[in-house]
Amino acid sequence: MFLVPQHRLAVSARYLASHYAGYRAYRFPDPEYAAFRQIVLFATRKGQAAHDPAAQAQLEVWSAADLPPLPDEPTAAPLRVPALPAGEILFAALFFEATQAAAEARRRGVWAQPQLAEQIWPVEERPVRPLMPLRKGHLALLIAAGFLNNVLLCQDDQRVLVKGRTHKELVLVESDDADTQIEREVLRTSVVVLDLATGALEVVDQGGRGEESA
Amino acid sequence: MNLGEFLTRYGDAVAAAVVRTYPPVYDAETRRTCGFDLRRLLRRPLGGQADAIRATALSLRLNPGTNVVGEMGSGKSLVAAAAAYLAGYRRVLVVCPPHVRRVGAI
Repeated sequence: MFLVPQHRLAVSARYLASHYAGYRAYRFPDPEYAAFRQIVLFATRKGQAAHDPAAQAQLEVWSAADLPPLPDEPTAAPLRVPALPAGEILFAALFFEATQAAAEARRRGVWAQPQLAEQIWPVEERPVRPLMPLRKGHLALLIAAGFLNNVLLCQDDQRVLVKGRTHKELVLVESDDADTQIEREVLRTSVVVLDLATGALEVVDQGGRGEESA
Repeated sequence: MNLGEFLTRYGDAVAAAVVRTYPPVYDAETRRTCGFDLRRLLRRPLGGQADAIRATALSLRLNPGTNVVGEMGSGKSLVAAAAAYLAGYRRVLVVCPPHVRRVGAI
């Protein structure tokens, strides 16, 4: 149902003819029509938009024609309004201010959604803060996991640089089938200590071959 | 040099570096200022449970996803229940195997 000043109907004629069908147009009853020159257009939405030159021409004619007044009683079969889909109803303007839209996008846009942010900037890159102070056992785990990386340690006039990292290796696993080759992903951790006074490199033995992952 | 020898030799320096790199959320200052009154609890926490309760409650305030890890019998259930209470949660769902239901009767 489209309420519009009659002379403005021609402006929307092409759009309406493309998206709607089954038109009925009435002018407002007097004295409203004399005061506002408004008409009401009834139509039903097409399943698929398709330009209809004949309908466009008809609407353009109606924008200047003498239309029948809106009747008090229906003159044709009533139009059936389809049920609304479930969910919230959003009322929004067709036109928007670019600056307001940009501000809204910054505030609630897709870049502000944590689901996306975690995909693009993984949690691993965020600074880690343990809840409680770490104990010696935690320190060993941190070092063994390669977390202590590029850290300068000063102890008793000795300065060493610790380089730790964890990487994955593919290891061949024995297979019962001679035609099948099975590889398993294995996590390897390496910790290397560089003595800054002598330049000597020393590998810290982890006491194992790392933890296997499926 | 193995990991044990490395920690023996550089343990203090490593500890200082770790605190610098990974500052804890809960420390002595937070203990004083966090405002969680453990006297509101019906059971008195033992030993390190008090700090664990305050720290967990603080974590629940900052981030609802919080894990409490501890040895068997160290009081994880008490810590979790007390922390949830102090953090302001009044309806708590406990999910546990059936054979530890009696432990849940805190």
